[in-house]
Amino acid sequence: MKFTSVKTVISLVAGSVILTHSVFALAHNQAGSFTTGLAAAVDFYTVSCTNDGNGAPSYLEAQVKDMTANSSKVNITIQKGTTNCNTNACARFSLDSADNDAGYSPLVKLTQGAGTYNLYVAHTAAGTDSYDVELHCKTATNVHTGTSTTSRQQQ
Amino acid sequence: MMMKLQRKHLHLSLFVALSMGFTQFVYAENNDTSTRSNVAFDSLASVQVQCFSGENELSVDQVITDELMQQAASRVAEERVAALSRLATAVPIDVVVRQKIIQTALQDADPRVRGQAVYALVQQNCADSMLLLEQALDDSELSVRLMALDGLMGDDRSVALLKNALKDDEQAVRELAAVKLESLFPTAETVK
Repeated sequence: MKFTSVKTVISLVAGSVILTHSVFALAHNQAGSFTTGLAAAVDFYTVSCTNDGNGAPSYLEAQVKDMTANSSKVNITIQKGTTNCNTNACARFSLDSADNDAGYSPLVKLTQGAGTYNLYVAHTAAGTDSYDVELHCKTATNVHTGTSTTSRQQQ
Repeated sequence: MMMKLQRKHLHLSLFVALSMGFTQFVYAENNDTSTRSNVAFDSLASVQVQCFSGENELSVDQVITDELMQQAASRVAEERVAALSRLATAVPIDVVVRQKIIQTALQDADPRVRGQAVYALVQQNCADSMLLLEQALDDSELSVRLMALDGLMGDDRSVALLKNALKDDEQAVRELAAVKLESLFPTAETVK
């Protein structure tokens, strides 16, 4: 009887640890803000899409949330590759036009396989702006795979 | 003899303890003052907000009111900013609650919260909004000044403040002021 309850507790703890880990593994957010306030400010990140065991990356999907209500709106551009861009897009843009809600901008996808994608975050006017970018590298069957972000430039 | 010594020892201990306490008190006071003066000039600390119901006021939603009040009182600054961002648009919340949230936020230690409060206030029907914007333009924090500039309209007083902001130390403030003046008066002549 005692043994069974110990086993149950162990299973529950192990289960919650696995669940927490998978939630963290799926959530890829990059928060930031434009410290200079300048209209021309651009924050630049690179996103590495790799096979973490879940499968080979096919595309990167991203969206941004403007977290400051003002006249200036935050947008993102994701970019990778330079060849045959008219057949298979090399860059996508997404703007969060409603900055007084909890919603994100439209989700954009860039299908350029594994490797390093560029992520540019900008805003439409001078002003103070904070943002949160949600991004995921996924396989052709929409399974989340290896995603890591590095900050390259903060303005 | 022993009793006398013990009493003397006790008096000495009391004196030392009291002195230490006093020193610590003085140090704490000084420390607090220096921190405050080093951090920033919060131009909004003494502002009193008085808002009124607008013509197209939404009927009060208690669930949203409670949710927003909770968010505005959060210990996480980003959450407080989010609550004020929501106030920058039409929300079904009583004007007294809105006023209270903004009033508290204007004295927030985090400049991002104060800045967002300035912007939220301008979107309401409140007395002395212009006075508050004028004071916010004197704030030492760039984010607060930028929010105040964003709230300025096209009236004479706003134009005067925009022109004054062209002399600000920060390029972002000068840039925003110039863009706003340019949109009000498309000829370059007026911006000078």
